[in-house]
Amino acid sequence: MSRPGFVLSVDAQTPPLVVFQGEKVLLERLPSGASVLYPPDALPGIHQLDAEVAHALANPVDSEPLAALLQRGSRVTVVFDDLSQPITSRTAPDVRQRVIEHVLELAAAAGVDDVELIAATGLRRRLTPYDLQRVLGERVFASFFPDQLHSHDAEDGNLVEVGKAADGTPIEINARVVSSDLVISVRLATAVGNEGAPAVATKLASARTARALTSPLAAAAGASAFESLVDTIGDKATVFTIDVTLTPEPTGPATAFLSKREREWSITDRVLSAGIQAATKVLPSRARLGLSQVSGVGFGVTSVLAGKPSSVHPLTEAFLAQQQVGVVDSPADVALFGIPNPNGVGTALNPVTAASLGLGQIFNGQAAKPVVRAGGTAIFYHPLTPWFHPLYHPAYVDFFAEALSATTDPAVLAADFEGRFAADSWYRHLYQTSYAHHALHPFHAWYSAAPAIEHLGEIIFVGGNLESTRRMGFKAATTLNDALEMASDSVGLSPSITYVHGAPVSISEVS
Amino acid sequence: MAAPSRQAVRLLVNPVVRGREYLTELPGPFIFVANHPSELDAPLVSQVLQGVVRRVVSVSAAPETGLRAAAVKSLGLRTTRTLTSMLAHGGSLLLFAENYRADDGTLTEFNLGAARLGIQTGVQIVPVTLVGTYRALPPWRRLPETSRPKVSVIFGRPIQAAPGSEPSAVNDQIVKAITLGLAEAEAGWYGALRAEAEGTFAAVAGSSAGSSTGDVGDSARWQRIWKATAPDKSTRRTVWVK
Repeated sequence: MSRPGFVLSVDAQTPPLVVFQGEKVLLERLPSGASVLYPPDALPGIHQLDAEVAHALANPVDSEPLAALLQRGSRVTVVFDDLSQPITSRTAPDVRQRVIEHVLELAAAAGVDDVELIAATGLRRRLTPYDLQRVLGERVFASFFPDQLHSHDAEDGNLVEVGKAADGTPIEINARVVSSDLVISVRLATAVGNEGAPAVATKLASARTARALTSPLAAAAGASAFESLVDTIGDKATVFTIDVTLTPEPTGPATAFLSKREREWSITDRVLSAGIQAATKVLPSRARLGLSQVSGVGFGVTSVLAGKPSSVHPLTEAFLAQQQVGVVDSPADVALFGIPNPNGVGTALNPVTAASLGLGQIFNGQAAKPVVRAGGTAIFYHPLTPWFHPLYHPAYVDFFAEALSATTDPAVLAADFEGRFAADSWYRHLYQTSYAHHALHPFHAWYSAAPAIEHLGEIIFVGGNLESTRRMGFKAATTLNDALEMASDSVGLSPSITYVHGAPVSISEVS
Repeated sequence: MAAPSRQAVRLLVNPVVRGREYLTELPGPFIFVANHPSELDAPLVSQVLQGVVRRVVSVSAAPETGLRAAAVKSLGLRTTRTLTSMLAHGGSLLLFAENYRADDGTLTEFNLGAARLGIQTGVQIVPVTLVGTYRALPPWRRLPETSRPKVSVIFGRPIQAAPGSEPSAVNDQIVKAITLGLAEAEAGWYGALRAEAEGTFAAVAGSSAGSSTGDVGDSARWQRIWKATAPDKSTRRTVWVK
């Protein structure tokens, strides 16, 4: 059992606290009386992963062992999480590779020749060959790329209808998955809400289905449409899931102190912190990117569960819930969050994704309930630099420039802009042949932030770019004091403040 | 010829390592059992194991020549007793278990000593396949090629021999794992696994590995050397992302 999370009340003795702001790490003094929400310490990782995976595959939950499910001559599809889950180690093989190698060894022994591996990307970009090699390792890559190893394509003609949602929307799923005898889904999760829907099919649907089910104009609840596709997809494909939970943050020797409680910092931690502060002042912003994560060696694996998805998913969720702060007494008037820029393989934050990541913390954060009351103020630390990845974010550029400057209302965006973006053949071309996110991706990111925007009275970004914040309907402040001054109109001069310590629970993007 | 040192290996070849993660999770020590196509092997394996195991001592079953071998033999540094006590003190062993070394780099018959030592001491046996070292440093060269040739070190899953098991059965497991590594170079990883499951190993791996019985295949010696020293096609870098 790891050390549980706790709530610290700031007083005169409290040292300055670590706050992430994009590529910077700040040390901020919070006003007296503010509460600091520390997440529980990470559970110790499993040391013998190999043995643990073998055990999980041989003793699955509510299912026969995987070796028995794999039949000679059967059609098997392995579906794995894309880069919405981090690469779990900088030096050792990724956890997905470790699990999939086990699965394939069993498949080879059982006499399975027809194997295909598909990255469950949803509407996110295709994985580059380098990404695939990083995620699955050279062995799997060399054995299957490019014909039997690729990313899901939501615009491909090769999608088949497996049912209809309540409102009659056809649910189209990747044809290879539907025609398989066995679908083996390998999933990673770092926190509740991060493991995604119980059905893997949500990440393998067509753009048409995803659009119809996620649009704010549609009445249908997106998740319930996939309820019948959790354990089986279509007529014959049975799903076998392997859920792996990770420690919430990478564990590295040099920067581990950033997630420690500041009162407990050792002399070494203080020296390292001073070093990071000094380096931040000297280095240009691109070079600062990796400072806070420079020696994150990797994520530890805390549990491996395999079996029938409808049985495994609740168990994984319950396990992950242990890693969260249990109780928030009463929601505060003002909540503070720091947002770091991720430095992983193939990750990049633009202002829209940064905002939706931050706002996602309101409902899916470290606490079970929102830490800020309805009508309260959220203060985020992020520069929101209007920079877009030239390869990954072409649709975001136009979404930011055209759509958001016209309106920030999801319903209006859906009615006026979504159709045009979805039908644009250039975006489709970039999505299918280059490595761009789908044109609907920025819309879905914005829709996912909408409930939080609705819940909050004011949203202020400390250090935020003026142009970006204005366009998205937020406010920018230079310092925390300025931000609190701006918030005082709605929450009064002595509001209750909660700072959620550490990085957001997931640097994942919407699917 | 003297074997190149560990530091020299780092400069001279470009090692690709697979399966090292199996070892980092286990406490050790280990008995590594490897094929022995080249003089590069021992320093190469100890180089890639740096930071994973504490100390590796290499021993060859095939008779060795030279001053060092004579000194080791006269001092009795490689007797079963000294090796057992070394394992007990946490040191690991690298055994080249082939009874004699083929001059064309193929696999020859294995000595049962490695399996016996594993059964006797209860230490985990790790099969190690070395691919490309013959091409990098064939017996007639004094230094490897200058282009930092790619060599593969493939660690198999550790084998825990139960007390009282039959040495030949454990030896078969080791040979199978090493042949699987050799087949990986020919047929790809999944292809090799499938061939192993189907029992068509010899056809896939046979051309480069020979078989464990000491019969090194049907082809002539010159053909085997020709094949073993053929340039590696995969070393060319691709600049453009496809």
